[in-house]
Amino acid sequence: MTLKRRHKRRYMVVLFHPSPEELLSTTRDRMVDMFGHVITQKALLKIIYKIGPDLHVIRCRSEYLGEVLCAITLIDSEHPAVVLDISGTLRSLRTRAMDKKMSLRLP
Amino acid sequence: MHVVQPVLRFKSLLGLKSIGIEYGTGNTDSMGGEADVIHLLKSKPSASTKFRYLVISENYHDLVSKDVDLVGITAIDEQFYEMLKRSSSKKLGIEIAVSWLRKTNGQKLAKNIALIKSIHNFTQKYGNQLVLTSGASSIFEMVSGRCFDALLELCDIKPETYWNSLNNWLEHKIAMRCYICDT
Repeated sequence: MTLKRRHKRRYMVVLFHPSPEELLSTTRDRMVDMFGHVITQKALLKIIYKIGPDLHVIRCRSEYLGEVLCAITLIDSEHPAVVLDISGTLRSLRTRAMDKKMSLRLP
Repeated sequence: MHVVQPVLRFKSLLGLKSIGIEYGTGNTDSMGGEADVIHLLKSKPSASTKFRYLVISENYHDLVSKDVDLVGITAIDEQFYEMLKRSSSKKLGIEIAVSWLRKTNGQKLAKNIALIKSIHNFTQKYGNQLVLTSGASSIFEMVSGRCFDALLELCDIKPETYWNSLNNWLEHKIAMRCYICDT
């Protein structure tokens, strides 16, 4: 009997002004530009949900976290994205994301 | 001061211990002495200050100037390495901004990553320091500590080694200045 294990995932809270779909497409474009289609496909990028107006939770495979972080940091857009937090579970991320959301209420 | 407050609040969200904030050549009398802020000035103040600072320049021909601590790099030629060799005794910081990397396409970015690696090796050899900065003009352009680590790994630089050497370099540079202490 073979044990089929699911890939480990990482969840990220990203501050990005336009829509989550735009975040995903610009990140994918940059990742393709930097690492190619194969790595981008393997990273399994996905939008999970939206916390606030500009806060989004996205998911990727843990093996490709470094590549995804580089791509998000180097997004070539008029609206840069900022990675605020990373977690292995959605539950712990959700708790911390609420605190961050409160702290982000800028004057 | 009210302009600095959102940046300081955002800094802790991003897991950064201290940040550098750029100031022009204006009056420095009103600046406070926040422990986690390093002021980046275009010229050396004429008198002792309350705040910690570094003198920056965007022109690498200023490498020979004795007041400059940190030189921003956006383009490089053969002359740069020669100048860096000559200024090795001053422990200069060579700044590369993420905002500059953002503007480059895939091919140029790959070249710049190779360049960062080469500058890092060169600075290590000659006692200078590579300083990777966000180059942010607003809080939305800031870069978190974890993202800096990912970028360093992309450039084949061990994050632990980089942060330790940056910390030592900063302590050395800041300790060389005269400050006014509140008693």
